[in-house]
Amino acid sequence: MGKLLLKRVLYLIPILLGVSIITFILVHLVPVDPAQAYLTLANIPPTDKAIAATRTMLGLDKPLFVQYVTWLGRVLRLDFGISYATREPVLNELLYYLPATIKLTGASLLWVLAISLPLGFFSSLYKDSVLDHCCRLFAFIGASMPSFWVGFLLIYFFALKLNLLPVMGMGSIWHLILPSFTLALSYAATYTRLLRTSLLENLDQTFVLYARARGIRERLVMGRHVLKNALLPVMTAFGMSLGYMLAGSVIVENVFAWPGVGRYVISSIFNRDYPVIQCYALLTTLIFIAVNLLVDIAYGLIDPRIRMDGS
Amino acid sequence: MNDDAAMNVQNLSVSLPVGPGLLRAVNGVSFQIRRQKILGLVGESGCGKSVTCLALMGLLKGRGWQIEGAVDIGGACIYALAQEDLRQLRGKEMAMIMQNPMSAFNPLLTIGQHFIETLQNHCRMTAGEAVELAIANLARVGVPQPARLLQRYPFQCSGGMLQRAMIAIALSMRPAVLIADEPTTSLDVTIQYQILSHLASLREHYQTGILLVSHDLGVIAQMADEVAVMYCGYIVEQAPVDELFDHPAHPYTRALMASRPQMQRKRLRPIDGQPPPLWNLKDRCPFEDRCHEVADSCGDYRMEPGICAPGHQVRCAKYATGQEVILSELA
Amino acid sequence: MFKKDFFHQLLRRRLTIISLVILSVILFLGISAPYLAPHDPSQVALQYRFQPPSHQFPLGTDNLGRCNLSRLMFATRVSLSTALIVICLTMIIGIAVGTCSGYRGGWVDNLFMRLCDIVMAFPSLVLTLVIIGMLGPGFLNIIIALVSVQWVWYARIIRGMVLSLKERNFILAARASGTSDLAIIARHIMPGIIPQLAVLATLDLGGVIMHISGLSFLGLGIQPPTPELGAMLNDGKQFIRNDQTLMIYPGLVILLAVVSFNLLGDSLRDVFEELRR
Repeated sequence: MGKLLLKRVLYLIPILLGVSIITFILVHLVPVDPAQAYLTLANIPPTDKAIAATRTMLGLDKPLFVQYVTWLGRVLRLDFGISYATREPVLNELLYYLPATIKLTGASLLWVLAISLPLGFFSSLYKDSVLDHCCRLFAFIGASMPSFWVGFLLIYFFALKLNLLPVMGMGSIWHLILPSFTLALSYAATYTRLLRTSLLENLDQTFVLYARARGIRERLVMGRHVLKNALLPVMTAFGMSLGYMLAGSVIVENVFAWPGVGRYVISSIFNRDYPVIQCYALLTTLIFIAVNLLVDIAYGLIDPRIRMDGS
Repeated sequence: MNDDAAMNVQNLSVSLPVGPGLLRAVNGVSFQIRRQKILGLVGESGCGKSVTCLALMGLLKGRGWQIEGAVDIGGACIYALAQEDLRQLRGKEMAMIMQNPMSAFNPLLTIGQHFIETLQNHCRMTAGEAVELAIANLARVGVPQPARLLQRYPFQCSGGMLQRAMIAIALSMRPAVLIADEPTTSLDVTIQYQILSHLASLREHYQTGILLVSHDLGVIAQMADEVAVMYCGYIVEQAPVDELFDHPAHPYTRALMASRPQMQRKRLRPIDGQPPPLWNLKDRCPFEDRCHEVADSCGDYRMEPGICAPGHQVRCAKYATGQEVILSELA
Repeated sequence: MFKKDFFHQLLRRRLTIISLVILSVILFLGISAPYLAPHDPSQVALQYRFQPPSHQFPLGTDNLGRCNLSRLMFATRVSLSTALIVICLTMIIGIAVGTCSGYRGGWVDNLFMRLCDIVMAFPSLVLTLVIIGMLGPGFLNIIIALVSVQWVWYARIIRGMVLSLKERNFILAARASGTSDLAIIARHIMPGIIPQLAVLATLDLGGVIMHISGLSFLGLGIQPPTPELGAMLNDGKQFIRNDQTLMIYPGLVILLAVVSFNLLGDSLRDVFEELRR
């Protein structure tokens, strides 16, 4: 296990380096001069002199490689630069909004589990029954609905028509229900489908028949032999989804005026506040990589074939 | 019915509705598995051997299969039992060895966990006691380092080791019946021999009756006390092993023997044609189209069992009741 | 023979027929928009605000008195064509890189695959968003952003397919008999991967449509006054209290398009799998 862990972490080093290079280069894709954007946001008239001074201040006059190394050095000290708009350290700004996004994502995760686990389980158990057909229909439609549309439909029905839930914003737990469900819907649909396929595959395995032939209790057969094996591929996909959910929250946050990272980054895009966008890319990617590493470790803990790989 | 019968199968028929038709996998099969004896069940692949095994274990129940007839074990028919009682019989009174040991074990559990799980499901015992019992039983099937095997995962073991483990698990509860569905087909010939000889010697130690399923006549000839030949879900011929190999009566059995490689003969004689599809089998003889010995009487024959010698049953028009004339021909 | 079997199998499925019908209607509406649309989609007529459906405006009008039907037709045209452009570009790059990488192997393969690893380390939506953030919103930029994130997945998959094909006997035979690499790729490898690519692209089209409309919804994609489904939804959201149809129509078109592309992709996959057997 230690070996596996070491291998995975070592493998991450070049990836992280590459990620940092791409993130760094992204700023240089900008069609306008960052110095000019800085001055515009700071309400300073962009005279040639001011631009030159800003370029020196932002280090834009140095060679690209030097810029990268100084930038990387600062990033490693958690200094992601200063927001052009607020003059605050970018990281502080993003960390201020991050808890709201994590809350939203976490709640969606609960929705996904609460919906897809039972639906996938029962629809595979009662294959080709009415229940199964309903679940498959849900899985199909749910995965094809754009989340911004779902959000508005939900707002219309539950908040405006029935007046059950608050329309927008963050506050009580009631505020959390609609946005998190909206974010969860397509994932819940996808996982219902994935779990169903995976369970059906495993129900047909010889080792399940053999477990039954040994007279193992049905509950143990389903849990230990079928479900545990079926959840492995689902788990890997889940790690990926968690990252996508963090990113997917951008749309949902904008639909529901949820004050999270996603909403902040969209306003930064309109403001051309490049350090914020850059830091956002790096931050979400790091979370994404960390989650996937955790999933890999969990997978290794469950599956001996992975754990003992190489030994 | 014999007193030493461990399992008594009466007129067992298994079919599966497929679309508008009916897949008749097993047709009116009757036999007994006697304690300490091996009943060999032989036939081509797809003739209904595996379905028979699953039906005997009660593993087809509730999956759309239609089952008729009786499978008695310890005086009660397993199909009259509640699902839960049937489960308790499985693994304890009747055990099973699967065809492919490599895929029969749960990849996420060690061999030891498979053992413990099985034993604890049927008896009250601690994990430590289960391990002790497991080591004793593994040693008996010739596993060199039983304690180490218990800690291994299936993917770390060879097929032979896994098959031994499967036999040890099956026999550790001292079942009345052991159903071995092609236990050695996927193994090397040398290991096949070792495992078969363990099986043969262990039935006496454990007082177990064995149903040995195989498509290999050689294995059957060497191991079985009694042989049943299966074709298209029918047991077309059934006799004690010497009688069957000395006087094969059914044309199918003869054809099967002729198609087997032998030292003296240079050319094999394959059986012409293919077995008919199992769905919508009529009541006629399913071997009629491939048979070299077709006669006029075949047209009216409806697979009634006939006797051609004491203890030697045949389902062929030639031996149908009232046609004992042919008996003399054979002798 | 293959072709006949293929269409026969495909058309035997009821859901395929339904999805094909829906797709043809959507495609027809999109293609014929400049000729059949009853009105100019961007013609503002404030005297006709929030009209209910009528002869003049079959689906009513929006907050600026523009004809909803015309706008929907043009929006469909824009969204679908953008999605098609994105998929085509992605495929071209993916096929080029994937085949090169898989067929050549060695350092070329290594270089491309490490690049893929790195791009894949980003959550794809985040990278898309950030690229647009840097380039600025706009039609061209959204295409650049989507393609530059998506091609890695195609390259990966195509490389895998090429690798497994490369070791097959008929390719080894072609190589042994001195067929040039390009000819092998064109005549033997491409036909082998195209069916799977078609499935992949069809399934992906739905996703790309959703991405494009999602980004436009955020105001990052296709800019007004060009009508686009996501942007129309965004416009409609302010009037959720007075006129819900404004947001229901575009959402419905997206849903139908995505569902039918997914259905079509699924049945294509099933058919190819059946035919291969």
